[in-house]
Amino acid sequence: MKTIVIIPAYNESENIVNTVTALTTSCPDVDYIIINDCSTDNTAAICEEHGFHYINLPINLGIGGGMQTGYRYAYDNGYDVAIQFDGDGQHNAEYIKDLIAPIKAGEAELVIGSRFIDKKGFQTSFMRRVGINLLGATLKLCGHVKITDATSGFRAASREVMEFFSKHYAQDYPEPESIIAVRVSGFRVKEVPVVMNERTAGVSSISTWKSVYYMIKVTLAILIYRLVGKKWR
Amino acid sequence: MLSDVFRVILLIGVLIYLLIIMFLMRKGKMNLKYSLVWLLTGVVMLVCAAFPGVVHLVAKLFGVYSDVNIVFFVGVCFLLVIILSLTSIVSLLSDRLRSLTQTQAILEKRVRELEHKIEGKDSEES
Repeated sequence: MKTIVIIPAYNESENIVNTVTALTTSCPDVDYIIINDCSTDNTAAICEEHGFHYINLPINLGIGGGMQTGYRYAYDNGYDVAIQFDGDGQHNAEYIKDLIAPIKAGEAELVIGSRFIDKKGFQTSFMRRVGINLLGATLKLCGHVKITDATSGFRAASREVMEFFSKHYAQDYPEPESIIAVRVSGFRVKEVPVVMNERTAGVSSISTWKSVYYMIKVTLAILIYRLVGKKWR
Repeated sequence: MLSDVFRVILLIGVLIYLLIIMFLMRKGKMNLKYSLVWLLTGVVMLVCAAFPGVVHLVAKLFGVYSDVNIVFFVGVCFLLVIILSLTSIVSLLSDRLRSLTQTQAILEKRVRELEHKIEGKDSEES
């Protein structure tokens, strides 16, 4: 299976070299593409200097638009599986094969790496876990699917989902929204256990004060997806 | 009935408003497509000012005590339609801008890699 790892990067100059080096050493047979989302630091220069494969967005599109660029690139270049892999060192490349396995076996079209199945490694703060559980309950209600780690950005998409994402992808906080979007469109979603690290440098894209707004917005988005129920396929 | 003073103010206001729209269109600062709903609003307001009998009739039909409330109500309705259409236009524009940005970025990568390839060949030859 032709596999590509999409690494969204916004001001990740401190992490990007380690992330890519770790990825290429542990998975030499997969391709990767860095999506530099108009970083204000020297992320692009570092990529060029190290001869990395990267796409430079001329306008900051945010994580949604950035990931969508990756899915479009993957789809256009005939990949069978696209892995979303954060550029900040949170994700372990050794689990990529576990993410691909259900797609290979034809069990699901979207596979999510969850840190809460085996409850190993970095487990994030208590309040975050409460929020993630609430999102999981909403997804269960609206999408009839058991998701323990709705905000996980470590996931694998099949070619069909890649095509779907390259046309329709939630923009602001896309991880939970994309789950309900693929469910409404009739794809199967599966979770596999992974271990995540605490970010080695940089700050999470979601600050404490924004998290309440985030919760309200994402919950509403999931409900609206269910109510509108538009099938994009 | 609408008071004469109010009718005169409404009339002058609507005329200025229509002139501004015409001016913007002549300058090419407003697309014909988007100006239609604004023009329609102006025409309806003009009718209200010119024929207060119509407003009075509508007010009676709807059971509204004061005629001027009909004028306000119609104005608010038009504003809602215009704002809604603006939101939909902005959504469309941002979708298109995003898609264009992505296409440009993917092309930029192809061009960059082609340039590297050509540079590599040139240095081999020389």
